[in-house]
Amino acid sequence: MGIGKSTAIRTLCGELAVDCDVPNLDLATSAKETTTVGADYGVIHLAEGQELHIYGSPGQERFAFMREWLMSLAVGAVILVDLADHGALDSALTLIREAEASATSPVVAVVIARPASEEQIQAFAQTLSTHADAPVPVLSADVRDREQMLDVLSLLFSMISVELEEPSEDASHVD
Amino acid sequence: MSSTRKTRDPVGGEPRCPPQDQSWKSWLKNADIMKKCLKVSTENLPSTLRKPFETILGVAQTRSMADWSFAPAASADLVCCVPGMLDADTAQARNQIRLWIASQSDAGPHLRDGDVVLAPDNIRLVTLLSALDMAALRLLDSSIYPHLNDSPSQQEQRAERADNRGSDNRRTRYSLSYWPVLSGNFRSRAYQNAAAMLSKRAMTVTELARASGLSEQSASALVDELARVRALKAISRTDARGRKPASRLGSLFAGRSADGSRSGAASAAASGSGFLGRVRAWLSGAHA
Repeated sequence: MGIGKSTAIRTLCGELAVDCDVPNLDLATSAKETTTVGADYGVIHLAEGQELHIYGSPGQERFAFMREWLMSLAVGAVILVDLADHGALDSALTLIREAEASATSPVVAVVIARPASEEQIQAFAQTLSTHADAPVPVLSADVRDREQMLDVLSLLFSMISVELEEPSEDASHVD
Repeated sequence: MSSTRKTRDPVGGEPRCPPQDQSWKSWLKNADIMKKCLKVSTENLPSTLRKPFETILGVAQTRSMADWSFAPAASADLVCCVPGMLDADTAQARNQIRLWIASQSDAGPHLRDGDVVLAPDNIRLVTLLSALDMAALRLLDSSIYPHLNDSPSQQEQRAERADNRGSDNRRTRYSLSYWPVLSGNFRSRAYQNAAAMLSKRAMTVTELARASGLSEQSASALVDELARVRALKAISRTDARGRKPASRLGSLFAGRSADGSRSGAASAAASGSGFLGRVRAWLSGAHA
């Protein structure tokens, strides 16, 4: 809670199309005044009338049904984490596995949304790769910074483009 | 911090540390994902010490965070030696680590950055493993002792890569083994995106350049940098194909094409590319 999902979507889309912020009743977990329930939703208008929809869903277990549904329609997922949170690794792994298990298997990137040292990020990324059985991009970004969030989106779509492309046939064995 | 302390204290000082909630042991264990081959030489040890030492080293060599193989002193990454050995201080290059079989006080005057000490009365599997892990960590993580970044094994690997580079660009496929924190120019969006592509699929340098929009020279530089930080693995063609399951993303685009009509799996990629093209155009406008 309070990691910056709504802010990240606002940064990318401008105003939210759907805002699910409600007064925060769990002040022990986070002091912020409001929190997201269900999902936030923003739209990026592309050329030729196409739209890129961006949803933000909380990571808590009680919202698992919402995430599962969103993941089943998603082409990409960005997981926001705070490395100061001792459960960051487990939470990220759970969400990565949820993404892998979903119908479309969206590409995943992890964004460290709170300040962390390079050593912490490196160690986190290595451990994540080991446990997730595949390397997962781990970036540090300020969700309020549009350029940085555009970089995250750009990285996600680079991965999607590779997923959609067929590998060429001209490679031969070298190890 | 003095070099002596660095040598004596495997967990102290500037070397990279695991996060607070993770022990050194589990951090080192995670480093197994990039298990590398390193070379150790015992040829400079006196014969009375050499035989028993090699016996225990034979047990420890594959249990360390790196795989150790025996090699002549000149081409070894880790050279075992004892004080008083002929030219011990000058015989070995700066880019090798020396494992001193000596007490701290005897080895002290000879120590330099990166050296490891093992007391002769304490040569057991567990202490030797600890010494080998310490040496491997120092050799594999160039941020700890930059001069070790040029160890014999690494020189060999670089030479191999350089030899292969010409034809490699079209033959060897590379993929990421973990996501590295890149430095300098490699932090730019173009390089990060290219690295992200390697996290999804093994590609040749040529394929990477084509997919990422980087020049072949830049893609090659990225591959070199990823190899330098040991975040890269070269994969055989068969392996690369076996490991990449069919993407399920295409099913989304197969459902409905850009003009709203239903489309089959065959046109999914084309439909996806159209959508990606529009996202890219939007991103480039938004960046501008």
